Amino acid sequence: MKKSILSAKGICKSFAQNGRQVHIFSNVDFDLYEGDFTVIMGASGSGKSTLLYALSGMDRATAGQVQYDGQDLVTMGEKDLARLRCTEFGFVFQQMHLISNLSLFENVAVSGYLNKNSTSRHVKEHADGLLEKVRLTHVKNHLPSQVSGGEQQRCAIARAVINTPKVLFADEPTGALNRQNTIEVLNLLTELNGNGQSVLMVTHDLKAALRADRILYLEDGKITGELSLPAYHQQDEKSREAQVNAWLASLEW
Amino acid sequence: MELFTMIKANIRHKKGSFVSIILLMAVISMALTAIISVWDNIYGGVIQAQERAKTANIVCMVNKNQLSEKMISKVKQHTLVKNVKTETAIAAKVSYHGKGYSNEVYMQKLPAQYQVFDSDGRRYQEETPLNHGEIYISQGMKTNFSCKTGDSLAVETEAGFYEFKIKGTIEEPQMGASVIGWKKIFICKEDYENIYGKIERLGKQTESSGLINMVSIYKKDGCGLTDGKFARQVNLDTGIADMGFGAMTREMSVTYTTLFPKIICMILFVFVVLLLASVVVVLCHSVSTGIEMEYVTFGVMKSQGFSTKKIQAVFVIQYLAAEILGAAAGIVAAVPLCEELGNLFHPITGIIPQKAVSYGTCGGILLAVFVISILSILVITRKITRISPVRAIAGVKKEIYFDSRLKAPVSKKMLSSSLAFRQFTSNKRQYAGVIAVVAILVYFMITMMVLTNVITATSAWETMGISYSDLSIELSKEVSDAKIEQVEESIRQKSNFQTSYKSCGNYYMSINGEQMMTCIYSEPEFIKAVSKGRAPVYDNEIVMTEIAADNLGLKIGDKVSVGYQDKKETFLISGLNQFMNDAGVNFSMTKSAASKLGNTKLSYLGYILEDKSRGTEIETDLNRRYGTILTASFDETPMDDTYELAIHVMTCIVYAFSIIFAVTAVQMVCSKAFLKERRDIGIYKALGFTSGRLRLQFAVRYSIAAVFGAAVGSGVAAAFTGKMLSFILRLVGISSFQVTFNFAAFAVPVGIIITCFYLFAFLASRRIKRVEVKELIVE
Repeated sequence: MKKSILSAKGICKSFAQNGRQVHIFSNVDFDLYEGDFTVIMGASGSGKSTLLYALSGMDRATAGQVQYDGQDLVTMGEKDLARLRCTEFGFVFQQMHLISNLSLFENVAVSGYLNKNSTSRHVKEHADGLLEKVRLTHVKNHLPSQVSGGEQQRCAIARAVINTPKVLFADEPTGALNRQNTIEVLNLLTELNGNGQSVLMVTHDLKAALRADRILYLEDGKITGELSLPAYHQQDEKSREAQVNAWLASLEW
Repeated sequence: MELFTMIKANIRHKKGSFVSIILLMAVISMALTAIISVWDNIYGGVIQAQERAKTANIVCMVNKNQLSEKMISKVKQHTLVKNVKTETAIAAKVSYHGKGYSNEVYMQKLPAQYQVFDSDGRRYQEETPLNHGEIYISQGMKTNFSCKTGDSLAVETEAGFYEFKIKGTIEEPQMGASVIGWKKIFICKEDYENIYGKIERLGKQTESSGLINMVSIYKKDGCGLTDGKFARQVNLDTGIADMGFGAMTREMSVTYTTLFPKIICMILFVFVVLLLASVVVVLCHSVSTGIEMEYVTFGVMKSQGFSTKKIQAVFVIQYLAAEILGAAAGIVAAVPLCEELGNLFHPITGIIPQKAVSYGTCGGILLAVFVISILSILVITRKITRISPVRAIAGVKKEIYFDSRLKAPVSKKMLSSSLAFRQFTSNKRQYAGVIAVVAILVYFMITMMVLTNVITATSAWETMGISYSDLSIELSKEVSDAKIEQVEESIRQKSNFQTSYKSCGNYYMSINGEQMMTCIYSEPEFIKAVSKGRAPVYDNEIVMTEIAADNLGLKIGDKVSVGYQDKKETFLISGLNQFMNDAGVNFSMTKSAASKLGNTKLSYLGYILEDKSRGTEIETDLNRRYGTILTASFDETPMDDTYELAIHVMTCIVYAFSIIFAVTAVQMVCSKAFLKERRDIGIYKALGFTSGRLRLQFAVRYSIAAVFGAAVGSGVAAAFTGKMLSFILRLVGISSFQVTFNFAAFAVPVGIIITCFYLFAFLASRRIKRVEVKELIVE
């Protein structure tokens, strides 16, 4: 029996536009299980990124509950949410969003420095270790503008895991990358998940979705399908792709 | 039409910048208009008053017995002279509540036409003739005595003591300003004739005491000479001024009357002009940031057919509109200020200023600012030429490398501060405007601190040649050295003291034909602030102020002919000093040198008491014991309250403007920076930074910029404050201003400005709270 570490009940997100209520998603129930690699797929505009932001506490749902460690993210105060983002959750954006005036090393370390439970020395060692793991040691003192998109995204992943978060959220992490860089980033996420890291990723890239243990399909703000898969390394890629393609076809993807 | 649509949209979209420019321009143009108008109104008021009073080009004070009809007709026949009028006056010594007026006072009968001020000195009231025992005084005397209508004034003449009740103050544009030593007082015809007759019958007459003739000499129409040159020529040809004991030209009177307002207005004018320059700096910063932020928009505009020139025109028109609106609002707001501020100087000038607004001059200066702004905007917006529509729309900006030699490591300890420093060093250009603005503000705040400290600290007066003393003694008779020693012993029994000066007083003598104030001291050591050469040790030497030497084209070692009444002697200039009397145009000699011209009577003694608490007791004791030969007065704060008030008002204006400017500039710069950094703020929030921490980071960054600006401003102040103040204070006779900086002179302005920037940046950053991480979503 898998243990749920993040649970959403009946969450909705809507906003008013020209005097009319627009629902991005409504009454979504969702559980993220410990150590799982879950992917949310859906067409453009289906609300998958908004759902990811609501689940990660980056944005607040309009209604419902998002439970994490006995706390509701929807009603949580700004300071508690900030602490959660720093120590419990890691986030990887589609556009990397590295801080342009910090070197790659500093981009990774700054989140670590923010964590009150880590010492400066530990953060530096850990940041160096992570940069080595993502193969960025040689450019660690470069500014983001001086490295490639793939290197920036690998750095963003290292930054997201500097505080050893319980959950790693990724919003289309390969959306802005070329094929080679996409593979590198996906391998990195798979490796992290293999080491026990829970990952929740939003994508519309089939190749990326193949890395998941579980795929959810979001359509018009509702989860309309779910597919469980064996661990990535336990299945060959071709049969996995065929299985997922067939499933997506059944959902009229 | 397309321009109009773009401008309208831009103004709607960037209300903050637009409003900030309007506000800055409004505040500064209000100050500029007020300062220029106040100066013009005071100057115009003095000239108008002089014309009303038909003041002569030269007025010579001559002892009644020495003025002959022959001399009058000689002057009348001079080719440059149009007319000569002679009025009688009674030389008097005036005291109020026991405090003597330190200079010559001439009592006259009330003229047929005169202007009486109301109690506030803001307007004229109906002419009220004087009754027996009543007196009109000038505003300058009222200020110097701090007396009011209804008080009693003791007047001592050769015919004895009289007590008059002050009926009010009247306009006396010739000697009525508080900065002019000589004063005229007016009594009714009957009282005047009674006292005059008594003195005439007594026949007492020594130099400037007794009965005086005031000879008013008018220049011929079309005479191109200045009043000073006219006076010199008439004196050289007739000797009228040499015969008298003093002369004053109309130009001198105007200069002295307007001296103090001129200094205040000049300092504030320079301050405001530099603030105007700061507005242009802030404006350029706003334009530059606007271009970086609207990079894509300009790409789109170019793709739609807008040329670079048209985009530049949008910038120019929208910022110029803001400047013009602000300037117009400022000028309107300045209208009521002009009258109020002008009246502030009435106790010093003794005239009612005009109430006009100097639209022409202010308009001209503002027009120049508009032209500079347009040129600056055109230069800055040149980079729009380099924006390619395709690259901009594709988001391909020119690579920006945030590298800096000032890069300091980001550390866990002081994380916010180290990140703030990094943000500062990686985008120094963004803060260049803030640094420039802070530097200007700090420079002026330090300058005002220095000026206030120097003017209010009596210890610093000596460097300006002013002999400060708290116990002043005026000798009414010629007394022996032994008697003076006895008086000093009486003082010493109650308190130790330091002798500040022993002087024979100030006289008007001619030097190479030109009438000039001469200060005579008993010993050379009492001649203060000799900046070049040495004090006159021998009886054939004099020192003169640098300003006087410059005026006459003289230098150390030159020989000059000094004349006093019918005597003439040659003296050698042994040194140059500074002394503020007569706006710094004077020379000094020792008693032994003056004896050659027949002037040897020691008249004034000044002491600085060690135990000031016994000052009043000493004053009473001396007046009781030696009342027949002297009048002693103790005054711990000899500086007039009005001057102190004016200087403090000026300091407050500079500080208030600095703070208003700091608030508006910070608000404007921060708003732009905030918009530019919105994405970074979102990232920091996503990483777990709280709004409070980010606001702190934001505020620290502006404090760092303020620290750099303050350092620049302090450096510039250390290098140039002395020079700038010397330039301005040369007007009052201080040719070499010795600036003494103390810790507070730097610490207070720097502390205030950095705190202001920190606080205002923190307040301006409140919008950080509203930035949400979801803004980073790309869906």
